[in-house]
Amino acid sequence: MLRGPYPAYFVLPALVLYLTFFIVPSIGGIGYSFTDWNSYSTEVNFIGLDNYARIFSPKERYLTYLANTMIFAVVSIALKTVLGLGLAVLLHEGVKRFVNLYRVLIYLPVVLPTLIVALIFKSILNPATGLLNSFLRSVGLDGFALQWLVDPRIALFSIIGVDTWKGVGFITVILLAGLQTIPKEYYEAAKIDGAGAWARFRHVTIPMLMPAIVVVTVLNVLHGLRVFDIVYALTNGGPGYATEVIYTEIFKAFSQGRFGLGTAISSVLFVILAVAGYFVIRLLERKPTR
Amino acid sequence: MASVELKNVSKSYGSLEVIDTLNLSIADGSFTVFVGPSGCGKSTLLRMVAGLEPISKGDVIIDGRRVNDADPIQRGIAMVFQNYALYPHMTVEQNIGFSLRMAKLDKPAIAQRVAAAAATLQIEPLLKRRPAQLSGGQRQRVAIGRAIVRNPEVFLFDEPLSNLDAELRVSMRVEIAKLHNTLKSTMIYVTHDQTEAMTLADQIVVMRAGKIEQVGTPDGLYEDPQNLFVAGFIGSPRMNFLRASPSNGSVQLEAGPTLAISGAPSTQDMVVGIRPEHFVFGGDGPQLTITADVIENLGGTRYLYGTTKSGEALIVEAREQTGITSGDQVSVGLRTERALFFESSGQRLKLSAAS
Amino acid sequence: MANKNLKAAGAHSMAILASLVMVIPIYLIAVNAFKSRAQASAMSMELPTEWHFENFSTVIAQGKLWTSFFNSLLYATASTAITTLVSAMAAYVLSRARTRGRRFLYLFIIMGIALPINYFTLTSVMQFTNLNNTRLGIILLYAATQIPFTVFLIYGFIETIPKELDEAAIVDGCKPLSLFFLIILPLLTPVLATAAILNFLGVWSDFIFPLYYLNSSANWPMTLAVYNFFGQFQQDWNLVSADILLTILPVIVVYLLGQRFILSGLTSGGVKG
Repeated sequence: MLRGPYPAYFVLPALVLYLTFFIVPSIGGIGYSFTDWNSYSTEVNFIGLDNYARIFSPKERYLTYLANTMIFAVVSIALKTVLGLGLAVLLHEGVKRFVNLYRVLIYLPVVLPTLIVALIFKSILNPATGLLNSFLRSVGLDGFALQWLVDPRIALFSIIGVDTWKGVGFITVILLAGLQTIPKEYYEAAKIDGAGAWARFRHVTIPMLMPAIVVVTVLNVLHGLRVFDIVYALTNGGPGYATEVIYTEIFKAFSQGRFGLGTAISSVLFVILAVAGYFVIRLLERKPTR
Repeated sequence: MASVELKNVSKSYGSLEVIDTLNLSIADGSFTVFVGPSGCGKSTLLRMVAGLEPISKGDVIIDGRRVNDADPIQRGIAMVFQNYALYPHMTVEQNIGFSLRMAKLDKPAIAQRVAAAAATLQIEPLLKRRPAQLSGGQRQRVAIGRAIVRNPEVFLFDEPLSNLDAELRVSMRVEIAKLHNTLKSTMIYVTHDQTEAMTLADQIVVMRAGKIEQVGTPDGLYEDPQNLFVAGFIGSPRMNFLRASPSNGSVQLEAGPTLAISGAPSTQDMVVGIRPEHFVFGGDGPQLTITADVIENLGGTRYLYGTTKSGEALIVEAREQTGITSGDQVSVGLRTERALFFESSGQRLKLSAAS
Repeated sequence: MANKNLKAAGAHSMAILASLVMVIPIYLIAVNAFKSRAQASAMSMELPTEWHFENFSTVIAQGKLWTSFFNSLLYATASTAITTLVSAMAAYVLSRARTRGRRFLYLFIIMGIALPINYFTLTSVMQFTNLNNTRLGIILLYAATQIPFTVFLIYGFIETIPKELDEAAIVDGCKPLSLFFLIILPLLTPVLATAAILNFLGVWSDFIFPLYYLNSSANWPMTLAVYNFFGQFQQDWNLVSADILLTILPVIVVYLLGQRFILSGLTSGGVKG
């Protein structure tokens, strides 16, 4: 036999890193999630499903954190997708010049550090001196000048707003590229068939763009479920527990040394994301149909 | 220079047999062409000689040495690929010199040999360019340059001209023939184009479905094909095949005439093959009446596409017959001495027409 | 015709509005970085009444910005180099020889795009390997976590390089290593650039790993240093702004220089779906 030109050892460095820092902790975490592992004692005892019982108990707050995470993920994805699609269509069909300039500017927040974005918006959303409320008051919309990050009822949605500001450019850029690959002939054919602008959007653009929409949506679900730094820096879960999400709780468990419980929460997330990941892979791997 | 020997060579992917127990000798310094329809295994066979494709069974012997386990570089072969496979990030000079660099030659030696190869192919002005800046024909020359710079024992060509336009293909064909005359190296050339096979080869290997149908010189295959497949594959336009049956020392064509033969066929149904150029107009041989469908005027000659009374399609070379138009009933004579006889299974029947 | 112009004008106004919404927060930071403490406390959009360039030197000194800048630079470049190289090697052999096993391995690796990190057990791994609270540990962590996406990105690109080039190189005498480094790697340049820029920006922007695994402020990258600085100087928005501006300046420069690669790479990967 010929020695293959594509030896398997090429995969080794990547695989070793990936296994060591990614897979081993995740799998090992499942084992530790059945223990009372903590930083106050060197002893680690098997406690069965106790950690999980606590997580899923209605008496504890963990289910709220899970719900907050879900709300964050779903609402921010919906907002980003709708706005992103709107912007993409605007750039593709509305403006003929400076498309690239607009695109570069709209994508800019995506590359900024989330932590920095959070700090900037801490200032902008300041109820008294912040730019947003100053602006609203100056145009006579005093009633909309809310206690953005202070009011427990709207704090989570304020964070979602900031996340949307940061992330909408990503969706815009990908959907814009998707729009640009749709052959003009489809629109011409639809026009000849008597389709108006809305009908063309509904029956040509949306179906042709669907694969790209699905991919960005799924990537954003993953991003949304793993949200941490934007919440950590804007509210750190407050006021009260109004914006507590899975990862801010995990960080608290980490700081406070509640390791066993933390690994149990991580493992729940691991299972959710592994299932989600299975569908992601199937999506990413699907061959292009055009 | 070296001879190449294939002994009981097989190649299978799982249960799929691509090359089936194949034997072949390629003489030192010969120009051998593997020809056949796509999927016949000719490229796979070439790649097995090259060492790019592992051999499932049998032996490949180059210059008397069994090379089944040798890397391509140890086999002393060079290859010209269908899509040229020039390294896009290297200049022409670097492309041609790359194998010498891999062989750890020093820079002056590489430069000298690259210059010599470039001179042979007249591509000196292109040396500093990159492949993207070259035309198809120029890329082809560079690809050949990359092969000759190594002075290989055996040259392998994998459909090298199929990406060129028709005109360039003819001129490159001539150049490859000249190159063979100059270098006198063993060359193995794969193509699906029988014209290339006929014009270039000393030895043609006609393949079908992983097996060799026939090996021979261009003239040998043209004159003396062993079966229907080879008869139909070699020659352009292709040979006409007419249904027939034996009757009392002669052969009765369904299309009409009877051909007198010597020898007795052992079969009931048979096929008579006759090339378009083996018809005569106004001779005294057996006459076929056909309805002209289309007349193709190529300038130098013309072909009459017609239908016989039995409904069989027929192509007849009608070099001098200018007056025929479509729809005409035409009578053409067969040169029975050039007719070939086949069993309906495809095997050639060793019969000859009685003169 | 007038109608058409009107429509175009409307579209441009909307696009300009959207761009402004994206840029104003950055502008806000930029102008306030030059203001006096008193003027910056309002965090308004007006220009500084007097320009306080010394804010920057204050921040650099107070915030130990040079150390954290070099930390960020080290983490981002080193982990990017490692990830890009090992991912390219892995993606290459996984893409070229698609046996069942390798196919599975590929899916197993890109599964990491979705998977969360278990910070608790990862601590144990870090301690076990003596990498906790070390620069090398952070670099390897970043390298490891960027592998799945990078492998995915490069894998798709490798399909576009004709396999005939590999064969030509093999016939020319290449061994696996020379084939990869002399032929394949140069041809991967565009996708490597995309991967490198995305990884660089990703690492530069992150502060989660340092938050978990670096307790010594001497090892902190800029993001964590800024956060810490913000904790100390919450009332000095002029200084906070100056600190933020210095932290995002490299990001913006790399983005503007490399945006062509980011956009092309993302879209070829993203739209493929």
